[in-house]
Amino acid sequence: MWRRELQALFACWRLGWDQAREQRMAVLGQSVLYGVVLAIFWALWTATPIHELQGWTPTREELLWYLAITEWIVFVAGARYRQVEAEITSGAIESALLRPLPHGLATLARWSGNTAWYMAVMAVVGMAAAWLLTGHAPPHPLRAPLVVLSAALALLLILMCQLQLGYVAVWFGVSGPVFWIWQKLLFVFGGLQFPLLLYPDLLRRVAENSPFAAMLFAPGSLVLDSGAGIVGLFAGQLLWLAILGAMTLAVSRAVTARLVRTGG
Amino acid sequence: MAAITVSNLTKSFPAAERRAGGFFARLLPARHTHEVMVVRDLSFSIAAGERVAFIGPNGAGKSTTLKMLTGILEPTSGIAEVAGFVPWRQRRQLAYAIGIVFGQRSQLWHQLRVRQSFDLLGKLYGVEATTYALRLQRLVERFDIGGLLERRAAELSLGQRLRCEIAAALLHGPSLLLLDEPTIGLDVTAKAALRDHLNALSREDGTTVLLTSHDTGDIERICERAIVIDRGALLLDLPLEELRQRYLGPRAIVLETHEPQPAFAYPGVTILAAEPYRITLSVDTKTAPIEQVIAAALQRLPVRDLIVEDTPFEEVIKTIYRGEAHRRAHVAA
Repeated sequence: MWRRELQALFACWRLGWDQAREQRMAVLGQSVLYGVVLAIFWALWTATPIHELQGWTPTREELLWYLAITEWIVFVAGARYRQVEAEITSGAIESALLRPLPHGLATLARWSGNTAWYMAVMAVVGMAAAWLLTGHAPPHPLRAPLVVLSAALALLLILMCQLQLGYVAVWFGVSGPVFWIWQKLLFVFGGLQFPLLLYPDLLRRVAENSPFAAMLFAPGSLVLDSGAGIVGLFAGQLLWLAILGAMTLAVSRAVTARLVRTGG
Repeated sequence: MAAITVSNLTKSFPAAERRAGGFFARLLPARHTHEVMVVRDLSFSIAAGERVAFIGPNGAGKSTTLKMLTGILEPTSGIAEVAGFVPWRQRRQLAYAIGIVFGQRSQLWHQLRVRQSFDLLGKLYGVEATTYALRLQRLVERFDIGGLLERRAAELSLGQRLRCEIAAALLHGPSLLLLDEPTIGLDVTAKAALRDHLNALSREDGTTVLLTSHDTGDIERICERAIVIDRGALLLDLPLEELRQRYLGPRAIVLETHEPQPAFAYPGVTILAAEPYRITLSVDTKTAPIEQVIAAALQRLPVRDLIVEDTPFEEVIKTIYRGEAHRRAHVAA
C-alpha cells in the first residue's frame, strides 16, 4: 500500500520537475530579475557606510551573500498558492479529489519537484551573480551543503504555508489578501534583506521565535559569522516543519470535509 | 450483482446570502436564508454491465447525484454503495474501481503530451507496468488515439480530447464508467465516433456505464435503460425501448438528394416538405425505428446529405412530465 502511494508521490514530484523544465522563459525572466536585485543592493551597500552601524555588522560582501541566499528562496518559492486558489474557484479541485492521492500531498509533491529544478538553476545564477559582484567566493564555502539542506527545509515550510494560503479560498473565495499579509510578515520577520541580528532587541526576539526566521534567516545566516549555532538553526527548522506539517494536514482535511459537504 | 445501489438519497444545500462589500465583508458569516433541495429521496439500482442513461433537464440534480456517487459530495441523508464502497466515506478506495469523465473538465495535464498524462495517471493509480502497457495499447486501438499520444492536450480538438479523456479514465481498469455530458460541444461526426467507441467498450469489456446527457442521440446509441429525474426526484426508470415507445414523438429527417423530385414512402413516415433536391420526413419512432428508415432512404434515394433532427430533450422531459402528472391525477381521481 505504502509502496504504491510513494510511487504516486514520486510521479507527482516528477511532473513538477518536468513542468519546471518546460517553463524556460519564466526561468530566464526570474534569473535576470534575481541578478538585477543583487546588483541594485550591491550598489546600495557600496554607497552606504554600513560599517558605521552599532554592534556586530556583517561586511557588505557577507550581506550580499546573505541576500543571495534569501532572495534565492523567495524567487524559487514564487506565488504558487495561486494554483490552488484557481483550482478552488474554477471547481477543478473536484477532479483532483477523484484521484486516489490526497490533493494536499499530491500538490506538495508536485511543487517540490518544480522547486527542486528551480533551486538548481537559480543557485547557479545567484552564485555567479554574487561572486561576480563581490569578487569573492562565498564565506564558509564548506557550509554549502548545509545551506542547500537548510534552503530545502525552508522551501518546504514555505510551500506548506502557500498550500494553506491557497486553501483559504474555500472559505473566503480569494487567497490574495491573506497571501500579501503573510508575505509582508515573511519579509519583516524572516529578515529578507537585513539579517535579524541587525534588528532592535525586542523585534529580533519576536522574529527569531516566529516560523518566518526558519524560512529565510536560518539558511541565510549560514554565510554570516553571526555566532548563531548551526544545530539550533536546524532544530528550529525541524520544529516548525513538524508544527506547520500538522497545521497543513489539519487545514487540508478541513478543506476536503467542507468541499465534500458543500460541493466545489 | 449490483454495481450501484442508491436508497433514499437526498441532498440539500443551505442557500446563503453573501454580505455585500469587499474582502473584509466576506470574512463575516454569510446570512443563511433557506435550504435548497437538489436531490430528493432518490432510489435505484444498476446491475454490473448495464448501460444506463441518467437524464433530466438542467438543474434536475444529475451532476449532484453523480458527485455523490463518486464520493466528492456527501448526501444530507440516504445511503449509496458503488462498486462495494460507500462513496463519501471510502472515496480513495473507490477511485481505483471507477472511471469518471466530466465533459467540461479535463483530467489531462494541458501542457503535457497525452502519453505523459497517461503515464502519470498509470502511476497515480499504481498500475503495474506490464498491465499498463497492455491496457494502453488496447485503449489506443479502441479509441483510435495512436496519432495523438505525442501531442500536448492543449493542442487537441474537443473530440480528440474527449477520446483521450475516456481512455485516461479507463487506464486503471475500472469496472464502472461514469460519464457526465461526454459529447457536449462535439460536432455530429465526433459524437457518432465517440458513441461507437463507448458502445464497443461496454459490450466487449462488460464495463458498467452510467451516463448523463442532454443529447437523446447519446442515450439511444449507448444505453439500454433510462433513469429520468426532474427537480431532484425520480420520475421514471424504464428500459430505453419502453421509454421510446411511450414518450419519444416523431423525429425529422432532412434528405438532400441528387434527384430533382425526391419521393419516399415507408410505414410510419410522412412527408413534411418536398422541395427540389430536398425532402423532409417525419418519422414516428414508435412504429418506424429511425435506423431502418435511414437505411431504406439511403438504399432508395441518391442521397447527398442527411440530417437527423433530434427531438429536443426538454421536449421529451416535458412529454414525460405531462404524462406523469396526468397519470398521477388520474390515479388520485
